[in-house]
Amino acid sequence: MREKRVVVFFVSLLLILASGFMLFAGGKQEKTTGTSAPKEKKMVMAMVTNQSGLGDQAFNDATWAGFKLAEKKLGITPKVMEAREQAQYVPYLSTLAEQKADLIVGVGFMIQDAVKEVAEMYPDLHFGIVDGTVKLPNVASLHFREDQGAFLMGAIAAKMTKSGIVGFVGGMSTPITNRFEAGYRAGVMTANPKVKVLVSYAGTFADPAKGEEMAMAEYNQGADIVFQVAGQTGMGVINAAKKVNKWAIGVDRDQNYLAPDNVLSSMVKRLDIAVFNAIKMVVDGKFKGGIYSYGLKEGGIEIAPTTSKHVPKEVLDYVNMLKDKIIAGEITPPATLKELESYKPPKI
Amino acid sequence: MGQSMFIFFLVKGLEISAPIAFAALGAVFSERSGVVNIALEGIMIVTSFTIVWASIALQSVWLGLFFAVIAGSFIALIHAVVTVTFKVDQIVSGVALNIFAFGLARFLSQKVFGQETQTPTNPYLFPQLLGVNSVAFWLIPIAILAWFVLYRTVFGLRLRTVGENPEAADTLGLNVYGLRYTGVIISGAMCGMSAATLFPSQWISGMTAGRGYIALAAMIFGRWDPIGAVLASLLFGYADTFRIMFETKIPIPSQFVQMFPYILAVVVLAGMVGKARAPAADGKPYIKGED
Repeated sequence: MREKRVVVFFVSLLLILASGFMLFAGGKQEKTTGTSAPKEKKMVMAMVTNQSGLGDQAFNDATWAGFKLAEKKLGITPKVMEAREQAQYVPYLSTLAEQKADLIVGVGFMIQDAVKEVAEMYPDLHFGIVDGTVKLPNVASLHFREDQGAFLMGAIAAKMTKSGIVGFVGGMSTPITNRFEAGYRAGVMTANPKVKVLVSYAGTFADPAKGEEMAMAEYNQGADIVFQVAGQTGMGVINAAKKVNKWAIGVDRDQNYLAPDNVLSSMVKRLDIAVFNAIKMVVDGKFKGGIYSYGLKEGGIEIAPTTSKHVPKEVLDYVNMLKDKIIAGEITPPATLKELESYKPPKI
Repeated sequence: MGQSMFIFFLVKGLEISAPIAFAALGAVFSERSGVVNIALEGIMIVTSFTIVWASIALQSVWLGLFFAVIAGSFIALIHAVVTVTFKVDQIVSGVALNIFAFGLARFLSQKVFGQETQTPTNPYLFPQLLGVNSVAFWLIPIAILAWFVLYRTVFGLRLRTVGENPEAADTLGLNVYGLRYTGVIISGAMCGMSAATLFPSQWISGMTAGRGYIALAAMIFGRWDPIGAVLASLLFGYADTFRIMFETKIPIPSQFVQMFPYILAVVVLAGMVGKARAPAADGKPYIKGED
């Protein structure tokens, strides 16, 4: 029986250790980076990350960059809570709501329903959702016109391919990844209708090994440029490009640094700008719910600056011309796969 | 399908199956000694981190592999201490270890690299053979070796005896605890091999994506036999390879194509289940000196 007690002790110790590690690892869970300013009543703006948390060098970091910018320029106090699993979204959002944060931003498509639920419970507070839509008067939905950016990536790929085949690797097949796909394929079609596009979805955003295999399969089928829209699965795509020395196109931020000789271009989403603007609305007391759409025109979508490293000037000029036409409204890239079916490339 | 495409399919399938197959091989040793090890997933997360960390720190992926094997063995050792010496329910210990390992890897990543969910990329990689990670090819000799050890050596015979009938083994003067420790530690060490073939370029939280559990399923479906476990892993791996290679060519929604390997697994398991038999003392702690 003595042994049983030792056992119980051991298991509890292990569990305590485990939860300790989890807490520690998420130690910045409620990080407040405000200087201990004596100034009374700074506005508190908060974000709840998706499962990747801070340090993902993508979505969450870019949103957080917007908060940090607002801290410097507008003097707010930024706050972040890192959700570890889907079940934590609602509790975290409502904790912040109970603390009467002046703006609460949820990051990512997956948190959409949680934001809706909490925003309904606290109609007096302001909420934001990145990459999702919540139709409530107190929620600002920040949308990005990925179709426009992906369109330009498609044009670059179609102009740069030597094999006449380009690829696309998506994470999960969601409305947003589909929007990327539609824009990309339309871009390819516009720049060179003879180029074939291979499309596959990994079914996950967090499995780099699978991403590498999917990209390898596309390279093996003759693609020489693969556009990845797959979060951390996409790290595998870039790795595959490095291994076979072909091109990858990055997403969300300038990913050229991951493989300087193999990342042709990246479609950059300026989440920081969108979030900063939302924060500014609250600071100025002009917050309004609704959909805020960030495209090429609003500076919410950009071509990565490192693109000029590998892409020759005449291609860049062509792409910039397309960009101007999109901004002017002369070209409307399809935003869904349905729209893609009826898309006719314009005469240029 | 052209010939080069066929070779590509063959070697890719091997590479995709390898992480599952190595873990399944290790699990055979653990279960044959009488210890269920559902902590494979967690062990794999830790070894995947260790291989990246040690490779970057020591500037050699071979040393990285060495330390990944050590780390896997160490986590498995915890499982052995808890379940063999202290006779905790093996499932409970496995679940606790999975949670523990997940947190441990994130904690270490935060401490070492200052990023919790992913490490920087590891530039030190294994040499390529036929366009895939050369370590994947080790699977074949290691599987044969595992079969030989289990069925043609004294150690293998003793290990199996301990898993079938520990009382009899004890009576014969075999070291039941020692053999079970060895079985469990082998399963941890093999998870180090899994890490080497999974994605040694970078560690990302959650990157094992359930492969540890698939390995467990493969081991059961392979009827607790090294060759069977490897063949089962290859079935899962090649099903996945098939869908990866032909997804671009099949005009049905990608979600359905992605289901294919799992549907295949369920169908095959359903057809097999009657014939699978676990070692008699699998999952039961052995208490010395009682009846």
